[in-house]
Amino acid sequence: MSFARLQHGGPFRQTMILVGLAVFVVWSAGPVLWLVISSLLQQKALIQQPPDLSPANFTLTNFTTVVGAAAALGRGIFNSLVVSLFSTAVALALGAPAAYALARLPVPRANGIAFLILATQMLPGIAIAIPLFILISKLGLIDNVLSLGVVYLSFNLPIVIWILRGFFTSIPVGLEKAAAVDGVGIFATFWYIVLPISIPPLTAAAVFAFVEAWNEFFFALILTRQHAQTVPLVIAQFAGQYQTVFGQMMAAAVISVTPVILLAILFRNQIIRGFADGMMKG
Amino acid sequence: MFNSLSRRNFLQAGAAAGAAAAMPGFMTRQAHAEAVALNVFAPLPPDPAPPGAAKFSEEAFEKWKAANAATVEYETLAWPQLHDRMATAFASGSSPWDITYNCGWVPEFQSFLTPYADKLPKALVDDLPASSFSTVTVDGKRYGTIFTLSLLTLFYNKEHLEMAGFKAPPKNWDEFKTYGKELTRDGRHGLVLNYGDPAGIGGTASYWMVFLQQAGGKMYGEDGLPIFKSEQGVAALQMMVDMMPSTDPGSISYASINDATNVLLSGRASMMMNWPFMWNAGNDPNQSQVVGKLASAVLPAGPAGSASIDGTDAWTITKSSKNPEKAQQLIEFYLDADVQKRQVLDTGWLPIRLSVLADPEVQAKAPNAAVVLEQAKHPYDSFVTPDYNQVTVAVGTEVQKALQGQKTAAQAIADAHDAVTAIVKRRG
Repeated sequence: MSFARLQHGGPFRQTMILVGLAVFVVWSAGPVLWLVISSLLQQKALIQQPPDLSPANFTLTNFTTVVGAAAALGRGIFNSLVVSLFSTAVALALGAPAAYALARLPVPRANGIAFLILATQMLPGIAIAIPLFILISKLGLIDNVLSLGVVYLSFNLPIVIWILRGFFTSIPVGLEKAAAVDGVGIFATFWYIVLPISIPPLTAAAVFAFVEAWNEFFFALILTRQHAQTVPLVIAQFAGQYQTVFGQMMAAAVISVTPVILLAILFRNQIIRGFADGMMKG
Repeated sequence: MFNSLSRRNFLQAGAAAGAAAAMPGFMTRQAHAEAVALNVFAPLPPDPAPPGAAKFSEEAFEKWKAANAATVEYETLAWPQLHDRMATAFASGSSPWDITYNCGWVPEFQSFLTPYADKLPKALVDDLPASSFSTVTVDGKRYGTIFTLSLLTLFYNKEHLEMAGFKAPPKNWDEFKTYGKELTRDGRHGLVLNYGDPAGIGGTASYWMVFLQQAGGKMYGEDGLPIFKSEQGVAALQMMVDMMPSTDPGSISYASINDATNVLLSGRASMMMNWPFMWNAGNDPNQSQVVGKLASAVLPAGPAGSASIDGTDAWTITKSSKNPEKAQQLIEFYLDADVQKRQVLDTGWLPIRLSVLADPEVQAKAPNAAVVLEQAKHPYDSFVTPDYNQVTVAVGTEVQKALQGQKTAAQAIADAHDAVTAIVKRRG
């Protein structure tokens, strides 16, 4: 709803809509805001109930401690970037043609294949943890960011295919028919006509895949040791058996979530359009 | 932004990244010039880590490595994730470690461990509490060595007790209940605990096991079957239920002991059962509002006396170790008296060696050491079994129901007993 339309209602209606939107924004942004506030508070202020938010308790010590002491955080962010970019890029490179084929080409039992692809996501991670560990261990790829990227690819690829398949199905057939009349083949149609108009859903799928890989914890836990640890594992290191350093944990979380938030801000228009096109039309 | 990124550029960048990633050794550990003799899996500090992983006895550690022509590579991980990584590695048959930290999991992982502790030098064994081996012994064989004396004791806020007119900590269950009632005032509660997670050492079930032993009860009989559907089992749970009106109401939802500890350290509760390591946090002005007000005592006695449970932090050697003798020597180094002394002085983790615990310098640095040593004179069985997690989930869930008034203590214990009997019989 645009603000222009909003203004057509009476004052009561406008007020209620604005209040509703405000509640939604606070509800959605509240945890992120609290994350930032927590990262700036001393531990003894955080354990108060309610937390003591007096100005004297705010400090940058959590950030300086985390940045100064945790070389692992820098390595974790780098590893997460490599793993997330790798799995996202490959998922798009493989997923886009696969989705197009399932949406447009005369693939026998295309719907069945699409369902099977989705069905791979229905297995809980724990069910495949041991076989996956054995496989990667026998390949000598434990504690290797590449193997982690390949594992994440297996989760991301089906999602990317489903998002893009929905969008490709919604593209008017006339576009491709016109290209065919001009003698353009399937690959050229896909490359020169379909992909250029698919930037928003491609972006949405990429951000989705990137965030999934960035936040994944369980497989990173069992498939890495010291050198390929990703950001979620590094953040978890601030919680011990008898002690959780909340402020430093939150500071590490703020630092690590920043690239993802920047990514979302940079591509926000494409993300919104992409999800709308890929999911609502599909 | 997208205009500057052509599809050709994108594909070229992707291909370059893929080629780089496919190169041998990409982002993997760097090849070491010398072979790694021993690989140790340990918790990250501030949880109990060995020399070299934690900052103590580093010079002695270097000397040990030189004298033994050994290199030691540590794989450290935050404590809450240790079990899952070990379970996956052991189950897949791909454990890369020579030495692993264990915490009540020895019966569960026993088939992957070697019973090296039967071969420890007598002088060392004689300096360890005999009961410290109970949680690392399976079928009469000792698979591990506890390296820190970590028993639950009572921590209390001296100032709160004085304000309520108490000059000493509670000594028995009746006093415990009275203290709890009197200390629940001015927005504070007499007791705080973490009853939110039923499972594991430090979970709801394990707290009940403390009271069970204080009541004179046991979990299992000689045949391995549960025997806690008894007067003692019910009395233990009834004691916990009776304490609930003076227990911080959040206790039922605190899943981690850290949450409950924070309540005590912020001055919102007056007493809790906790582990010795909490002493450091409680006296750190950056983390605690009760610095200088904290004291510890032996847990209040039930009808059978005081009792506790063991944190069971132990070193074990894996069956897959290619050099178990050297691994045992390294564990013996970890348990060396000087290293044990530095362990407590530099990290706060109490030693397990009785001679070091009795050291005046140690007792001056860790005033709670004497209390823990005194607590160790009473029973402290954690009742660990290969299916400890299942058992504690079954018991802890029933205990939670009783604490919330959904069942009577007798009914909860009867139901827990049935559930544990089924688990034990399935084990065979």
